[in-house]
Amino acid sequence: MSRDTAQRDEEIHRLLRQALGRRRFITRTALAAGGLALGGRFLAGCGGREGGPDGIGGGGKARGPVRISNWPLYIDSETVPDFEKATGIDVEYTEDINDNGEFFAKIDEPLKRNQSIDRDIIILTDWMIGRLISLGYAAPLDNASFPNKANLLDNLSDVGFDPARKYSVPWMSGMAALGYNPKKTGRRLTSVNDIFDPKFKGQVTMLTEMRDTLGLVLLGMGKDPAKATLSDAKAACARIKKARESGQIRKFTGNDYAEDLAAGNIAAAFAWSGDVQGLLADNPGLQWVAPAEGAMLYSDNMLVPKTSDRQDLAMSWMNYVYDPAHSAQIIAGAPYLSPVKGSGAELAKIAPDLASSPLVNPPDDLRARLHVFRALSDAEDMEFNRVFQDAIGA
Amino acid sequence: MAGRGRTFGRRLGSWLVDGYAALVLAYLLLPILVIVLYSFNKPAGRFNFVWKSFSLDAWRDPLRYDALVEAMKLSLAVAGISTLVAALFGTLIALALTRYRFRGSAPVGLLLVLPLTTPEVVLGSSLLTLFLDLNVRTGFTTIVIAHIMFSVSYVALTVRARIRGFDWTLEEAAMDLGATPLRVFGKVTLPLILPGIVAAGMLSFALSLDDFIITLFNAGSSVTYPLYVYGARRAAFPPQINVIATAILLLSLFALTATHLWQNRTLRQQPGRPLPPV
Amino acid sequence: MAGTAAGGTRQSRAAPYLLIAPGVLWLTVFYVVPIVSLAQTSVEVAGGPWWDGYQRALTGYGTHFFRSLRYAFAATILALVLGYPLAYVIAFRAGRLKTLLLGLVILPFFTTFLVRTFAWKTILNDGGPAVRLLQQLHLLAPDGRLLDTTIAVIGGLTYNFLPFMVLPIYVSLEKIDRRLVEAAQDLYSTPRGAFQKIVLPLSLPGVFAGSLLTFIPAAGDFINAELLGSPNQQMIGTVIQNQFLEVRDYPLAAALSFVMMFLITLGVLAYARLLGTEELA
Repeated sequence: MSRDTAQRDEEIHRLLRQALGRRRFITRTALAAGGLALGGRFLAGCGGREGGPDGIGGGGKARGPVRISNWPLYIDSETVPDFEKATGIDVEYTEDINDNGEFFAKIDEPLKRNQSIDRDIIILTDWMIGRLISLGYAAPLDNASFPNKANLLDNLSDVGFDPARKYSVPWMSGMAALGYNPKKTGRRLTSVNDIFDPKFKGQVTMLTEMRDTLGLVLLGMGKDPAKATLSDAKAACARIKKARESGQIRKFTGNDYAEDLAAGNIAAAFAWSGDVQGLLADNPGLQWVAPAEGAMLYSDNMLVPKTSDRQDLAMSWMNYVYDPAHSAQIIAGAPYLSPVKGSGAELAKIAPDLASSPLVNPPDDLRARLHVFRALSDAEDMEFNRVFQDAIGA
Repeated sequence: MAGRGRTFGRRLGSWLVDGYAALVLAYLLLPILVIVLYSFNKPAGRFNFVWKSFSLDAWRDPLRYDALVEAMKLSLAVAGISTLVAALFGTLIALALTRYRFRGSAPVGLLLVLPLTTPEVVLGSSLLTLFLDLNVRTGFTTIVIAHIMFSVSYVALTVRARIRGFDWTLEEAAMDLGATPLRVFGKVTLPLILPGIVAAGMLSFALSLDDFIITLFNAGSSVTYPLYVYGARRAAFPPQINVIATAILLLSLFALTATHLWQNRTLRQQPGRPLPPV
Repeated sequence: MAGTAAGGTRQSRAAPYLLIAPGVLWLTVFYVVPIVSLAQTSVEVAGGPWWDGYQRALTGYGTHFFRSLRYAFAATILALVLGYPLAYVIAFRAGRLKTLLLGLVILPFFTTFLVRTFAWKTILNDGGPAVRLLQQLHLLAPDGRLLDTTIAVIGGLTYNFLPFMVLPIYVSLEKIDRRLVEAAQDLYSTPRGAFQKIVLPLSLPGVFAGSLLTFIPAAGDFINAELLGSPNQQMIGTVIQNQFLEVRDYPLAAALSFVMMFLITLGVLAYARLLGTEELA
């Protein structure tokens, strides 16, 4: 396990270096364009590529890089350079999304005013993508230059917030359920409601991501998150609030429950599948389980902001990562669920261990227990959120 | 006899006060010790929160995370520029408020305090709205603008506290002796107020280096050191973060020592009012 | 203050305005204008009376306001109790070490707020040294914890703003004429008498400034509550943040901000009254 992490770490560094390389390239390009008039050959040379035929020709073809914003550690290290080599399109890949709401606050105003956000692809969770689409912030995907879109898994190809996937396609899916430290719990956890066990008072955390926490608690109450009404939400929130006020719940967190699980401060947490996989080096005993009642399934989706002036480049990127082999490559570096048909077989070729992990390739009985939160209208979202924020004490 | 007893009591009292102060200083420095210590840790996984074993790995490869280094550079540049501008603006206001009585001085005082009473998230989000209204692309410049905005108050108030009650007759004496206003400023006023400005400048530099929330809103796609740390901790917290923090500490200590020496030199050159250190 | 009036008469009337112009202009454009537009937001209620946001802010979030003020107050008192003697020792007893000690006081500023707070997390971790020590001393129950408690939040606030307390107090102590202190010691014959009659009163402006610089940011802070506290320690800063970013109830978020600013200003004025300081800072 620790070798895996070390490898992943190495990948992160390379990725970061490489992301930086892109940025330097842009600066130099800008300088050159600013009057140095040095010609395409030199520009291409500045990129630091070994100078394949793509590199030389690329200077004229691509108008600057395709700019992608993603969450930290959500990709392997090979995909970006491979894509650049294969297409001659430079990539400016930034890991600057940490929270859907925070990121939305940053891009909302510019998009409302039709201003550029300097991004050609952004990757956000289902409900946020739904909000962006309903606000008219998304550019429709050009299916003609995205033939690999046909590889999208059937159950993801038509979703409430984006019928027929006109504006968005999943980058990756993940599951939210229970993560726990058997040394601290002293037993196996099998039910969502174990998180309310008074034995774990002050040693459990939930997620600030409303749909995941609310969905899991609803499952524990025997309710279907796909049909959650406001009164269901209120009942679930009352339960959360009571547990919070009694001191049962120690915290509500984003990905940062990971620190507390690793440091041994908490016994159990509502946790995302990929995170726990990554934490095993810090704390090898950690477990992630989809309880009997089920787990929440979410996707983070790629979307092209309407103000992007490089939509064709964005389509090239999407088409590239929707190739099963390329998708498997990404999953090998970030152990979540691929939305691409046939990627499982490809993954088995390059990382057989990982391909057999239920976290990456859930068995059918687990798949059957995965739930999606109901699509909420903007007004409903505000109403649900108000109740939820009150429950978590914020 | 009684005198002796009292001397002993006094001494004991002094020791107690000194010891107490030492403890408070230890409290201030404890987390710093931890930060430095953990720069030598070899964490088991991605999070440098639990002590595993001593290692120089992170120090051998401090620049391993390019994005971290870039973020630090950006933060230092922002802090440098915003401190210079804020120190100038703030000092001018402080001078006006202490040296002159003028209509409108009370509202100016209020204007200085108000930003300090405003929650950072409010400062950040309302400023972002302004930039968008003005069609300004957020990035380096807007971060600097925001940092100047919240630093001006700190500088003005610090400098003002420092120079209030100074004896300005020296200036008048110099004027009477026929010195030009510029000369008076350079030879008399500036040396008097400089320690205050340096202290305020350091404060403003540190505040800028520290700021997270206001920057978050106005950073666009730029990533400062605090933004990087905040984002990184969700996925990993490498010891390099501690190494860079320690390096900045050493640099600050160096700057402090240099200031100290420089002030001592100025002190020798200009007999007169001893300059209080920073 | 005699010099003030004298200076004013001698030089041109425009001088102070020229001096304040750049800074005031900056604050006007980048602080006042945005805040005014925020005030507008706070009353732009869709489908309700204009005061709706304020009403909800006052009725729904009393606990958070009260908690924020209480924590900030506790942190300010603690910082004063810790900071004053330190400032005193640096100003009067440090001798050649003065610069070094002052440097050490502001040293924490040069590590990022976040990194410092994470260091506290390391210290306060459940299995960490602080918890074990307190448990051995029987000051903490065997299953007790420090992290995610009120103590940790107030401790973190005190820690983070302590230098803001020490520096102004030091400045005001430093300005006191030593001959005055010596004369007072002869007059009142005890150091305590000299301290009470001379040093303490003369250092009050520093105490005032330090308290403000501690109390105000502490009341608006949310990082400490978020990293070192549990949801039951959430302060108003978190609420405002969440209303702005997650719920997007802008009128409420703006109203909360203004109630917050109003309460702080009120506290500051009361405090100024208490200490007999006429000016705001």
